Amino acid sequence: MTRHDQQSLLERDLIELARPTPRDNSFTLELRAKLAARAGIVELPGRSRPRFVLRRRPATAAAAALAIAAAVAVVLVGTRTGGPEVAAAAVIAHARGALTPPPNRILHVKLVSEVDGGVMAGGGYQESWQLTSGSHSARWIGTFGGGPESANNGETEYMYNGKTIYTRPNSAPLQLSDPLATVREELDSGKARVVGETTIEGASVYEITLPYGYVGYFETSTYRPLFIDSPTSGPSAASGKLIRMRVVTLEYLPQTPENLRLLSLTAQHPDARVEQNPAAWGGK
Amino acid sequence: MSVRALEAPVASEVDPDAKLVEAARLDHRAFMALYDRHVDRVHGYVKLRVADRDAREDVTSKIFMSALERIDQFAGRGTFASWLFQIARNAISDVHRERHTDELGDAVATLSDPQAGPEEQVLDRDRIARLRAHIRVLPPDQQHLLALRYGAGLDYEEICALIGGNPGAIRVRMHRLLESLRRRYPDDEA
Repeated sequence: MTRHDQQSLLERDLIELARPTPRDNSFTLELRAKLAARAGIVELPGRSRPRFVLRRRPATAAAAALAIAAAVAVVLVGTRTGGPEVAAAAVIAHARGALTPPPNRILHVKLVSEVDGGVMAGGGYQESWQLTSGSHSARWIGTFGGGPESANNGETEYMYNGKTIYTRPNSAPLQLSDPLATVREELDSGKARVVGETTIEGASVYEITLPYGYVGYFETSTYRPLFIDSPTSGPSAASGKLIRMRVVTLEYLPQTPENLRLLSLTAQHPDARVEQNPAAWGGK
Repeated sequence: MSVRALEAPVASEVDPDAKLVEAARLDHRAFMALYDRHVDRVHGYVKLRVADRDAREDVTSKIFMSALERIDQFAGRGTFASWLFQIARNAISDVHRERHTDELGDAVATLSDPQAGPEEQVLDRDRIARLRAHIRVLPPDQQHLLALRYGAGLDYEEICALIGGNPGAIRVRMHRLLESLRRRYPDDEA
């Protein structure tokens, strides 16, 4: 007699009540993407983010250049003759360099979260513009991680609900919130490994394994990341699914007057009513 | 079951998640492996205790967000799973308090859900509503036990590792609990 035969109708109903449904699987995948964002694979903008942010070092072009030189030098010393290991180290160093924001620019990043090639249910995307130095003024858009469109110029915080822009004084100095900083740190961790070259969607990319099962694909011509795949092992609904973060945009814009308007919520929504009373924040 | 037992789970068990927890403390990204390992069980647990679909998705989200946020505070007394299910238990208590749901409210919520899930399609709607209502009026510690067994799908040894006690005693308590439910669940043919 099987266990199922021994179960009463009551027990079978209890088990059926809890059985995962397609809706549950979709939900747990969405939640997985949100958690991954909070855990650091893509950092969230806004007030809650710093609680989850990994340790970070100041990033400058000079530091990036030094890091590239150091990485290559270490391998050269270690192998004497160079060869594949040197090439791999150079690839990682260049990829890290491509992810290092230069000062006095506007970091523009757009990420889309996909499951098996389709945009994640609920609309998983995030786009941000942020000054790479100085006040670190920023504007954030996107449903990935939730929250309305928002901005912060270091003095005032802004939030837009589609009609009204709410304002309140900023409470803490802004830091650069680079959504791809974690990938850069992973490349710098000593645990990244170049697997080889491959082609994805017609683009020639380096495949680099990152800590904890993540895999990054970096364009061979620019070393810019195009895709970051999440590990999907384990007994969850994610098993067998390809959960991919597509780096739609990664660019460092010059601080022209036109580009600086991208940081401003009021400039982007000139017809919106601006609520100056901080007590009304969020429509309260 | 005493509250004390739930708050102080057995510490002698070797935690199968110990290495992953340690990795997640150093780097939060390692938490995703813990999520993969536990999400189906936790969500099953929540499904058995919360009737409203949106509410249970909120609860499951809060459980894992909270666990990620507080992973540094996990003291290692007991297993990660026991800690996680304690978070789940507290989160469900909060949502029941906030929503002021009662037996009738939950039953009506299930019956009137225009987007009832496949479980409601598989099971008779009236029967499922009554089952949820019966579960809802059980004392919280009995709901917890029932959901660990039939929602999370844990065996008696695993339940003991979470809440203390011994498998025999848990088995007896579960038997009595099912008998109690069965008396109010007349469709049962067993």
